[in-house]
Amino acid sequence: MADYENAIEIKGLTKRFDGFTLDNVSFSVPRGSIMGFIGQNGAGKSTTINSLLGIIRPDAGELKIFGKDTKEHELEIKRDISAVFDELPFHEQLNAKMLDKMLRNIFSGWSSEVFFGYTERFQLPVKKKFKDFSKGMKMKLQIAAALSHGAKLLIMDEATTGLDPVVRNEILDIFLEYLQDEDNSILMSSHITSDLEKIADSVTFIDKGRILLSGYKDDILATHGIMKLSKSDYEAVAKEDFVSARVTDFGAELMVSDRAGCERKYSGAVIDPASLDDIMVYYVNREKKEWS
Amino acid sequence: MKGLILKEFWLSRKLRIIGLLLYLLFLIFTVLVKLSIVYGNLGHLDEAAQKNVADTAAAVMVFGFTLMLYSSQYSCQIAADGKCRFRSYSFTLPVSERQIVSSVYILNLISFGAMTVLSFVNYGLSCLIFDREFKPIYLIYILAIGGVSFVFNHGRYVLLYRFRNEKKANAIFTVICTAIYFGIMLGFTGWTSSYLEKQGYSMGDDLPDGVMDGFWKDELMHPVKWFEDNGWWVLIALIIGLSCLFWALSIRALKRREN
Repeated sequence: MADYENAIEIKGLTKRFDGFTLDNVSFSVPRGSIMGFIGQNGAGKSTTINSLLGIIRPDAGELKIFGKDTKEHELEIKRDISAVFDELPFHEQLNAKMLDKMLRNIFSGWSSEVFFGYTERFQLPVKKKFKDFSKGMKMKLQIAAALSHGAKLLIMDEATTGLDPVVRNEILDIFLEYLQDEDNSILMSSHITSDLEKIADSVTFIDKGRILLSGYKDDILATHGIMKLSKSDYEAVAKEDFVSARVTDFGAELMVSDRAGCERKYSGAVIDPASLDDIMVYYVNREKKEWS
Repeated sequence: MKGLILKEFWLSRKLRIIGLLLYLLFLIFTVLVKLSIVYGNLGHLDEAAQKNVADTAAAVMVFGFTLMLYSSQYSCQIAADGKCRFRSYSFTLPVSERQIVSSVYILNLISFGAMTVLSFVNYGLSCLIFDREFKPIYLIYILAIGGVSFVFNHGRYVLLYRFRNEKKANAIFTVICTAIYFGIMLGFTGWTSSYLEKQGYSMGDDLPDGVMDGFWKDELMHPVKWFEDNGWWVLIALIIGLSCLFWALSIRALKRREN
């Protein structure tokens, strides 16, 4: 049993670029859970993940993996983590056999048996060069490599983007299998919220470099809702009671973050459950407050 | 680190094989030149012309082939690592920047060793083919060629690690090499004109026969002799020193993260 509570702890992560700032990002991924990290393109998901993985250096903040500082214990931590990117990070002239030999000599915990077990399961040819792999095959290969050295934490950046639903489902099943070990955790960034709705325990929502929401997925889905009103009823709703509203000629749809409170306050109003996709869209438009 | 060395080796394998095949092709061509001198058309030339052809072919075989062998065997996947995002991925692996850079250096040092042995054999073959006396100082020349090409290649690697942009790194490297080339040319021109002034001539004068022969014998061969007698180790020390410097600079450049 591991002696840490959170697989990932991020406090006050800040990174400034020309035209974009990742501003004081804080959240944690509990051990044994899968966290969905959502946000639109350019929201700061990759910057956060790259900072966590040491690919870029943050300007400020405290980053911990397995309860250890990522800077002080860099190599030690990297033995137990795996990163999966949206694109294959291996040279196209290589094949799975070569990759096995290469990673076997890098990760002390590497298991060729496990790796070739996955390649067989995913029906990946081991002698074919990666340049001849399809997008789905490349992603499966990355996942096979990520799961073959006994990593305790998987960090994935848009790993399921661009894949067809069949492959995505297959991959999501693998993640659920991986989480059978209660020490294993996953941080998965995606803007395909339907995937996260299926498997995530918790969700963190980032927009324009700031965390807007972070918590258990079920709690977020339970507290949020879409209140459907006529235009005249919409005028009577207090601005602070909703995140933003989609106003059309037929009426208004308001995202509320305190569903129970709104049900009490606006009795008779219809409040439908909101999906993560809805929550994302309404929060992205929160500054406009009213959009169509 | 062994895994990274293997990766470097696999990715550069094709170029290395092409380099070795080219060497074999040129070797066959050189043997044909020699056969032509003995039995073929070149045998119809007068003795002095035959000697010139043989001297040139022998010099190309010793120095040209050596340079080609060394240059084709140094691995450079730095730009390719960046293009396929392996560099970002390598930062997530349990290897340090020092190990990443060292894997390239170790493979290239192994290549340097192998190519040095092959170049020595090549020199021995040239002595056999062209019936020359085996001079041990040529082994030092071969090492110097290998060392200088090692230093130049690894100097470029520092720029590739630093700028992470192949075009920019190559452009800066070309500028540096051009500056070195013109520096040498200007130095050489200055040296020649000061020699001529000592002899009572100036640049542009019609020189009588034998003046420039004196320059080669008195001036140019002097440092060559000094190098042969005492200076070869200075060059080797310089090559080792610069290689270590470039290694350290590459690690430092790789530690710098891109935005």
